[in-house]
Amino acid sequence: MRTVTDFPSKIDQTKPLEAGTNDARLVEEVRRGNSDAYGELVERYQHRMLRVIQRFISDQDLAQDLAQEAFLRAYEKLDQFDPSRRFGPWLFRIAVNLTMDYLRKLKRRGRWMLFSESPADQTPDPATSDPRLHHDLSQEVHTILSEIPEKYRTVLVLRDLENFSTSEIAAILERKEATIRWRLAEARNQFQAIWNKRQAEHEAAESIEDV
Amino acid sequence: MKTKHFQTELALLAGDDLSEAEATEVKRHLSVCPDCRAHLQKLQKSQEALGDFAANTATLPAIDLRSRVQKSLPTPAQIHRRHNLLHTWAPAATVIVACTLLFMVMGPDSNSTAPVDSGLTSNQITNHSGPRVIGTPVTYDPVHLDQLADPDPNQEVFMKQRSSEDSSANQIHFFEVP
Repeated sequence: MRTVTDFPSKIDQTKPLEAGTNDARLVEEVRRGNSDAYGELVERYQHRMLRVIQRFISDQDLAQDLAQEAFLRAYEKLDQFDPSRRFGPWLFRIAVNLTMDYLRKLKRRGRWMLFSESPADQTPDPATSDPRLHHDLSQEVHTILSEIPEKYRTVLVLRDLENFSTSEIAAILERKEATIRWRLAEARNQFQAIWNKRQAEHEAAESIEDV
Repeated sequence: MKTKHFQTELALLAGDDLSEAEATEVKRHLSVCPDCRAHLQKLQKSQEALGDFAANTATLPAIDLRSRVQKSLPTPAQIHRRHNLLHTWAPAATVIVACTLLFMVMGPDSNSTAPVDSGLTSNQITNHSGPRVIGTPVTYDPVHLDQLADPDPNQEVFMKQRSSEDSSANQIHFFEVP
């Protein structure tokens, strides 16, 4: 059996929010009327925000529109921002709320799909050695995530796909860190249960085909 | 049962989300619990799949939201106008909603059991089959009735209890609604 220490560490795909930066100074300049300072904040966060939104809405144009809207709302609400707190989680709270509101609205209208375009329509990544494998994995993960209730799925996506810390997620979702940790554990257990069930079904189907 | 008890800790351990002390405690349990070890292995496999998925889908096309956002930024005057609008209408809307709710809660209710004057409840009054008796009985003198029928504008019409010298046979009882 592999020990716990053998387990690969989380992919270092993102830096913690605001590591080595001075967002507070930029926010202060924006408040004094310097819109270029806000442009700098946008540039700083645009990629990560877009990727977070695309974890929920894979239509790129729509995700960009939502990201733009999130930045505009943040700008309008900047006077409500408490400078003693971190800007990143506050900004991502606006973006995540906007995305969730959009998805709930779609769901109410009865034409909701978690990832607004079918994974089958996505272009395979040419860098992957076997694009078919990548495609299968993406489709499988998409399907499983769509089966997990929203409050768990959101935490799972932010932690395991976007590598936010649990304290950052607590700030983004305005919940206690203990609640986030509990939801994260629940989400991972649910993901694991569905993943293993589907893997077993695929293996059984393949063995029947082989026979 | 033990595995169930440790499920939360195992899921957090699989993603490196336990403190050192917590992890040590869980690992101590793992050394004696094959069920938990098996569960952790399953969790690790599904976490690997999530990690691969995250890595494969991390790249994004080049974007320039900065110029898009900066072009659309509202002017301070526009923001001020929106805030003013919000601060004017939001309290008014709140008051209207509160009044509507208050009316719905406090409005007439035929099923109310709240007591009214004379000791009856409004429910009892509504469902009362006999003659309606509301208020305090008042006795009128027939002379006063004439005055009531043809009132003298210069004389004050008043209702009072019949004086003690009148005979009870001539009494007519009405009820004064409070």
